[in-house]
Amino acid sequence: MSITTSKAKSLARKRSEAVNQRRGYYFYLIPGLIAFVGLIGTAFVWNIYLSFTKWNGLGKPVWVGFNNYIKLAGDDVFWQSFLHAIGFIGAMSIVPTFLGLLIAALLFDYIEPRFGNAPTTVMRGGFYIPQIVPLTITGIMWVWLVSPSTGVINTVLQNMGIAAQPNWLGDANLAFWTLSVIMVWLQIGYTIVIFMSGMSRLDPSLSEAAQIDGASWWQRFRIIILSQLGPEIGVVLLTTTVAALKVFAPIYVMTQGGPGNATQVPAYFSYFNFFTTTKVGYGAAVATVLALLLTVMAIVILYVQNRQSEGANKR
Amino acid sequence: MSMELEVPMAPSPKPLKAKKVELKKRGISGWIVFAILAISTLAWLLPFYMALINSVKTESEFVNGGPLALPMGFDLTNVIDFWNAVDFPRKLWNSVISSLSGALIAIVLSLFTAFAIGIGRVRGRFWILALFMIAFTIPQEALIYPFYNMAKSIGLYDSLLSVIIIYAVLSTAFGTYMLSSVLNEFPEEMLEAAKIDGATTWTILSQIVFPLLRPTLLVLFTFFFIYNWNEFLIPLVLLPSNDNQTVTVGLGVVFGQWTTDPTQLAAAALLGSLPSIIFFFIFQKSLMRGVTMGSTK
Amino acid sequence: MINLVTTEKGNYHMKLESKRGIRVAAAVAVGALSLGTLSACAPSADSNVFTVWWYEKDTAMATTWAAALDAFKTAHPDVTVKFELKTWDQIQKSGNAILDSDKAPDLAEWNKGNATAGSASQAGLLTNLDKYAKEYGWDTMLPQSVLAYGEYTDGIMGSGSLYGVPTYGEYASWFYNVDAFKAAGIDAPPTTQAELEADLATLKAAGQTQCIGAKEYQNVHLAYGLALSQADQKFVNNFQAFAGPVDWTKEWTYAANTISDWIAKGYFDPNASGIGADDAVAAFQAGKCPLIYGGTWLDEGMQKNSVSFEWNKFLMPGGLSVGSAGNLLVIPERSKHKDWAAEFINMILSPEYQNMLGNNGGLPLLADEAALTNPLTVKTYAQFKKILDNDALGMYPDWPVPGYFDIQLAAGQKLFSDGDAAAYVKTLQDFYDQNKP
Repeated sequence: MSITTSKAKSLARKRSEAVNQRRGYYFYLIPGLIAFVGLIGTAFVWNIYLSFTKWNGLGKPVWVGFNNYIKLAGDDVFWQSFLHAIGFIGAMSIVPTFLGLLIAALLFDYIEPRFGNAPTTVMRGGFYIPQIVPLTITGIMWVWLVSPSTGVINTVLQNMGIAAQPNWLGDANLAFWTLSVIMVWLQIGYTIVIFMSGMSRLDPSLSEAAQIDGASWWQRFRIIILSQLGPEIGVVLLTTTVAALKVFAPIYVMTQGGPGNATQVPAYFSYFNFFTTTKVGYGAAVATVLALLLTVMAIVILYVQNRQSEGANKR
Repeated sequence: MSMELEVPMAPSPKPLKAKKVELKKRGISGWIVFAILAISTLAWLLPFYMALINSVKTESEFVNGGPLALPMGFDLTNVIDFWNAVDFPRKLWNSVISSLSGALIAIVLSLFTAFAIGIGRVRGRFWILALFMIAFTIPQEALIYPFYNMAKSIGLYDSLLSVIIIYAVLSTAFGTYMLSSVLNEFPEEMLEAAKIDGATTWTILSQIVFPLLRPTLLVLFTFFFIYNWNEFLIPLVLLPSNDNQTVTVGLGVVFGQWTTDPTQLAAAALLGSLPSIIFFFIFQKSLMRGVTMGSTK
Repeated sequence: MINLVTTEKGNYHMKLESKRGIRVAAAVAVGALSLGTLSACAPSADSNVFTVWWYEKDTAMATTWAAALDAFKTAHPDVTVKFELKTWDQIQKSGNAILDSDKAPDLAEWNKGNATAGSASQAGLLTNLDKYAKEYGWDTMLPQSVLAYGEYTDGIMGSGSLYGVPTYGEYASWFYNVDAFKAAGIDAPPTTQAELEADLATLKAAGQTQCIGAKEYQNVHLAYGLALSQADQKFVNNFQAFAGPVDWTKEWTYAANTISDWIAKGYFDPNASGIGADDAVAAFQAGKCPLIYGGTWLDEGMQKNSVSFEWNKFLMPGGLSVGSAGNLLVIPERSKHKDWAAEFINMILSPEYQNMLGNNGGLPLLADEAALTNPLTVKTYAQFKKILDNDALGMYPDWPVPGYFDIQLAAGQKLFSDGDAAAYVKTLQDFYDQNKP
């Protein structure tokens, strides 16, 4: 958000002197703002209202005050679901960030200078493809790959003569970890693409100077790339964390929160209450709590970006 | 961030290194790193490869040879069966129409809004942007039940139009956010020149800003399109009838329940991923650009 | 359309004459809107479209109803029949939402029980069929014990007005591979739980386990089947209709403990909780496992997929059997063609289609026994009659409260994964207690 930077502010002042009829611009705000407030705003306020009611989706909602929230506070499944979502931060945010950084650096700084652009682009594309295919489809694919009876992975294990074949998604203790591996598979393309683009803005002379000084590749990676990619790393960590807390489709397609509640997450738990047990008010309460949490995260993102762009401008 | 400021004017997405730069010596370690990364890339694509080889097998071939064996022939029965069973062209059409319309409307709306914020610098723009940002942090679960009720009350339940409107507004929030930052850095001289000529805001938008912004709009468009294409919860809830279902819903939910025949599932996965992969190959550069914009703004 | 936004080499030179782009953009946006509007308006325009939904696939019902629908088309050449194949899950999850909209079908197969047809009838989403029942005589054709599955008062099943019509029956039993049983030295199917246990042990010793897709509905049915083996109708009445308190330490605990015990003894595939229902059925049909607990809806598949061994069925030894009249045919309140829908239901109940259902491997309610030629149906029909005569239908475990099925499914999958019987019973009891009226 560079508009709040000092540079932007001075630009703004200049501009506002030049443009006397600022009012003409308000007109362009109207369609977008009306659409947004009318749809998203109304829906969100409505949802908050529903969270204070008991309703099965038919007839009229009955006002119950804070009952749903009180129930929520004592609901083990709800807390478990949040724990799982926080756990998925590891698989969707932290691990992909680390691996993404490493792979991006290798591609950008090691492969490209030696093998040229084409293999780099192909590899980057290969890692990125899981991001582009609808999650429902990759979900089908993985359910089939890890199926204990007809699945590819267990067939390989069987061919290798391993008798005890894991029950990847059916074992309550294993399902979370299986999903985690799949999440890493999904997320890594995103981090690689962003980090590579971030690296392209780095000043190559620094790296070249280091090379002349005889620094190894690993040292260069640590000192130059990592230290300068701060903004990208911060943003990637934050956005993927938001994604982890919101995760829904992979759970819906692959485990439906099971076995038991072993892979239950807030988004699916709220959907489950809306459409399966038709406890609309309760589902709305879960969704509202999640929304508030994520809004706080959004404010953090705004704050961090603001600080970063100000920092960038000072540089 | 400073790196993004050139976006609208310099569309070439990734001038990583000038092409004429001489390549470094590869050496043994170079080849080792190359091999590791190449193998990793292949491993990443393995699920798609498995879907491909198994979708063209016959069922008996699968039973006898297992999932790993290469197909003996090229049997398209599964793919065709599946194509017909779910009326795939229909789902494709629904996905294309909803994703495309949603993206186009969003482009127009976000251009307008961002024009007011970035060029017009209207009062309260920071708060407007902050408001829009909430749109992509609120989980869809917190909106979906009201969406469903709203759609029903205005007679748009089970209509692609309801989904298009929602896609458009959600993307507009995001697009405004991106475009505002870009327009914020719009070259001042051009605007000044136009104003001296007594240009109206509409002239400024249509004849100065829009032509220069077109590459950026393309980037946003591809990004919106693929984002809409992959939407799941919204069409799942709002489009119950088979005729209106999109690819993601039709394949992901319905088909998984109808059969667990592995070769048919492979065919479903293959057909479901193909449009996205083709789209990716055509718009790869724009998409990469969009991802980067989305993340670093 | 994409042409409009093709990349142009970005440069600082303005082209003041390039108005084209904006005009195209505006035109496209308008076009997109009108396209959407068009598709929104199209379906409601025509008045002689008869929309029919069901979710039977590859079952005798699907085959028979499709034939009936063809006959209906022939009888009404002016009617456009619009059929949609749904899934059970769609009706379970978004059924009421659809009924409560103008997209409701004119006739639909619907899930029975308080949680689905019950709550829909209570909310006024289903047509009261008393008038049609009298007119066509369904109220006298079908026995009261069967009609009860379609009758609801304040959303509770069992009596009151008719909101859905049962047209077939179903029950769950053990399917077994006669050859494999003989090979393991078992000559006759078990008649008590102890014998069943002994047979499982014998099979295990012979290196064989029963099939089960415990990732899906089969875990729910097996658990309830085991619970019902210890139950009487009083339990069913208490559990299903809230007539009295349910003692969770009895039937349900027996079921959970038995499953837990069988897991410990290795009577299931150790990875059962990751196996889907269809995979388990396919494994049985391929002769990979000699025993599976399943419903009559598997009959047609067993016939079609030429199973290479001799197979038969036996009831779960003990008290009651899982089963009921099959899914209901309902006429949504918002149906635009209620008379056609009633006419179609009446066709399905006619001897012609009841017999056809039987001969397709289904379980008719009103078939002419003499007209049944399919040997399998003759056998299952007799078994079903016996259950009915003994008043031994125990319904399904998920009927009492909405969403119960998914709770049982998830808890059951977990039970098969960790063998924790106490946790299973507690999950079921808690949800039941929290949600019962």
